[in-house]
Amino acid sequence: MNNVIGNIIQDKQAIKNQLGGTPNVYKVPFRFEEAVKPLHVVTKINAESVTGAMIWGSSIFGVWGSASWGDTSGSSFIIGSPSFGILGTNKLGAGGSQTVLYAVLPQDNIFTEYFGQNDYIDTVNSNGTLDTAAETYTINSTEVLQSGIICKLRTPIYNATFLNNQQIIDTGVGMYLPFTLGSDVFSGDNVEIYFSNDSGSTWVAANEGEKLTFINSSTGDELKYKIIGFSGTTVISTPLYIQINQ
Amino acid sequence: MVLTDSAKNRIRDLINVDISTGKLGTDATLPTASDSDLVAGVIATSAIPTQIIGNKIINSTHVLFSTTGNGQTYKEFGIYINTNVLFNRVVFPDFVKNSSEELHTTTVIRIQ
Repeated sequence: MNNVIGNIIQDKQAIKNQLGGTPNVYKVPFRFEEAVKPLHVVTKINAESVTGAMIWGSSIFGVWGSASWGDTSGSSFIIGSPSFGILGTNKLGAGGSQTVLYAVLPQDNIFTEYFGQNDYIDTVNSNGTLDTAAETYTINSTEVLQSGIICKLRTPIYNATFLNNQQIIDTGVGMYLPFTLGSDVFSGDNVEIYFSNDSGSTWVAANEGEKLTFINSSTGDELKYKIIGFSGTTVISTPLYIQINQ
Repeated sequence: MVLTDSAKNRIRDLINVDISTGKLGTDATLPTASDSDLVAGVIATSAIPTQIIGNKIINSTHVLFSTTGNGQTYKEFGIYINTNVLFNRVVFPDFVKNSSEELHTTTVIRIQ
């Protein structure tokens, strides 16, 4: 019996020696991944005419020792004038100086509105509630969200549509609204959607199952959208993706 | 797992301070992810843009003044970070520059 016990003890010791005398530790790895994407959302180009203004270094306007101040109509920079050259304002030179929107270029022809700022919201014609921190826009019954110009490519825009989570559904001429108004983008089927390709002069309703055709399909090149609430409260809490087709 | 808005705004700040120049060019070749420079950049248009930041957003505006870069037809624009690393490139309809106009190019960058 002593021999048996002794052998058992020896066997246990041999096993311990094999295992290094310590219990096995199994490593269970966890791995989490998150993507950070700097996105180029849109580029806007403005051309500002300086005709008639006083320009330092210009060979045409504001030339020292000459009469070339302001434009030829006589709207010059005049000290003490109530109309021109007023300190702290932009009334320097002629009223011909102005900023002209030249182009608005959404990345990949898909404009995305995140509601993190109001640069592309027409605050004069919109009366819903923008929350830039929560990145939402809330529309109650009869309230309106109207955009500024979200695309200007200097060629006619013949079609536009909202995308479901940026997934392109159809790329042909004339597109159907690809999703149910209530389920995919807006919280409830409580809105009407319109697009304009002539900067708001004419509007076309975007309805499910119907092709959208602009009135000025061969000339309009400035795209806007408009969302009108007709019952209840609608909270737009996801980015709006709008695909533009030329 | 959620990447916080604070983290995204920190990344926004890091990119914001790294933006060094904006530049225009005269080639309309479509941009690709492998672009490392404007195809035909005009050195005279290189200027430091002005940034305005918002929640997870950078608005960067480059100005080409009336006395600069005239006589060219511009078709492309790019922002550079860390002096010479092309951050983005965009092509646009031809713009013929003359001394009666300033060209303001605003780029919106979002950290998603």
